[in-house]
Amino acid sequence: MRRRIAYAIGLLICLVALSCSSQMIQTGTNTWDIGIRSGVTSHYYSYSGP
Amino acid sequence: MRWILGLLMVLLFTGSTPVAQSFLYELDGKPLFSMSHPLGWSVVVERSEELAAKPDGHALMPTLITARPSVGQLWYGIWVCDKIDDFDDAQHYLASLTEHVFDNVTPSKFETGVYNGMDVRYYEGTAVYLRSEANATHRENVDFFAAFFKPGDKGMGIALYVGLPSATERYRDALAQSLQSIRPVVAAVRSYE
Repeated sequence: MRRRIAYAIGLLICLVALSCSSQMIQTGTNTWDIGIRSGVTSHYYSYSGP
Repeated sequence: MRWILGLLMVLLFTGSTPVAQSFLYELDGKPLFSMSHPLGWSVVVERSEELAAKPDGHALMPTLITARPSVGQLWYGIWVCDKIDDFDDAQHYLASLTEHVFDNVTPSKFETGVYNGMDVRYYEGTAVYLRSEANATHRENVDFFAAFFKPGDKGMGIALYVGLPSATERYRDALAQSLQSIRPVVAAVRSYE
């Protein structure tokens, strides 16, 4: 009984850890947006109105 | 044993159920509007002081809130421009912005409406994004949309999305829900702040 509970808890921890690590890796490698963010902010300061 | 396993599974799936995460946009220290993004998206709130590259003699850019999912090439940002007050100015601002950031801008859709008590102007189109990476420039066809809204007496709210067509297709519904979640903080609430 206790062994089964331990297995279940271990499985749960593994699933959560896998989910978290996958998201961290994908977030860290997504640098596509840096140029657009830079363009938006630099445009804000250069815009002087219509 | 079964009930313990059942409880664990309930906890697991409850924790991963997509639920929106809400944010409050503040201008000059006062709440202006609220919005929601899907749970799991990375949301970055950059206050005026944190936004780099302010040239001398310019006022600080108001807070910029960006959100993105863990997968997909897109940029989705929301901010307030206090340099424009009406929708004619907003159209000019958008044209200037897209020319600043993209090539070959092709507007394809324009809509007006009232959402959550705010007048809204919505623009959609395609463009070419010149992405620099490792001393090379890549030309990428992107979709964009921009929604302008008036959350208060001062300034214009802007929600801008830019993404590869695959990202647009994948997240269209989530983005629409995020846009529709934008609600002005009513004046009565602001007065208590």
